[in-house]
Amino acid sequence: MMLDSETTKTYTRPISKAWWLRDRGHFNRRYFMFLLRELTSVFVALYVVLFIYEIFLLTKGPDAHTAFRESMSAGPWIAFHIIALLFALYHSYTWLGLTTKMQAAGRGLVKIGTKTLPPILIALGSYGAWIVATCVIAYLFLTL
Amino acid sequence: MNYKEHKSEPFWWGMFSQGGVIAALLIPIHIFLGGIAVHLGLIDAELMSHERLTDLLQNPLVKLYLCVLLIFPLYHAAHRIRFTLAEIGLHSLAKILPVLCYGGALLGTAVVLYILWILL
Repeated sequence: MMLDSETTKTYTRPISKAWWLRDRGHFNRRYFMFLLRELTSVFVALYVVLFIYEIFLLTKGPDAHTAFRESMSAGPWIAFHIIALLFALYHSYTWLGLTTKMQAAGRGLVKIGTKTLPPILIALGSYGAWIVATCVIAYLFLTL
Repeated sequence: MNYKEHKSEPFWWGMFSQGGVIAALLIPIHIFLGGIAVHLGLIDAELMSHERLTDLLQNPLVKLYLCVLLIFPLYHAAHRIRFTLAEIGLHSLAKILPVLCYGGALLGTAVVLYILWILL
């Protein structure tokens, strides 16, 4: 019997609305961590918007900016920054680990001649760049 | 999925990627210095004072740095938020989400440029 394209349908497994919390009755850690990773961008965006607001206040004079700084020293705002920092660190960890993962998965993205570099060197490069950037920014901020 | 890719799609993916790298390398230290360390007394509060910051911003290189730091991660976040919202169930908004998210990033870009190069 010929299968008519009108009558054949690809089966798509129904997905629960909260798939990142419960999938077919179980908690799936991979799905949950995936959503956490995506959520890091929300905290990055919130922090950037707050930063933009602060430089806007700089244009409004010392009083407006000092008041903003004082409000930021309140407990809830420090808590917000600590949570945002944890999410930002998780973003750095996952993002900078990507190339290493692909290298380790045998994709061999980075080669010298015909030799594929071992993943550990890629990891050292990515996370090393992060450490260097962090130190440079901290140094400039504290000394400029 | 009968979603048809818009021809601007590669541009947004590219900005997502750029912003991802910049956010990964630079955002954590800024959150720590300005949002935590200064309030816990780990560093001098004067470092974040109006006088000190406006002084730093006299330097065009600092302005350029802030443009990179603030603009690219906006596109990174816009892209991720767009797809995540669709994935957690807002499929019906698949057409309007890119407009809202990328529109927000574009607006943010304009605001940053305006503050740094016109107001300051």
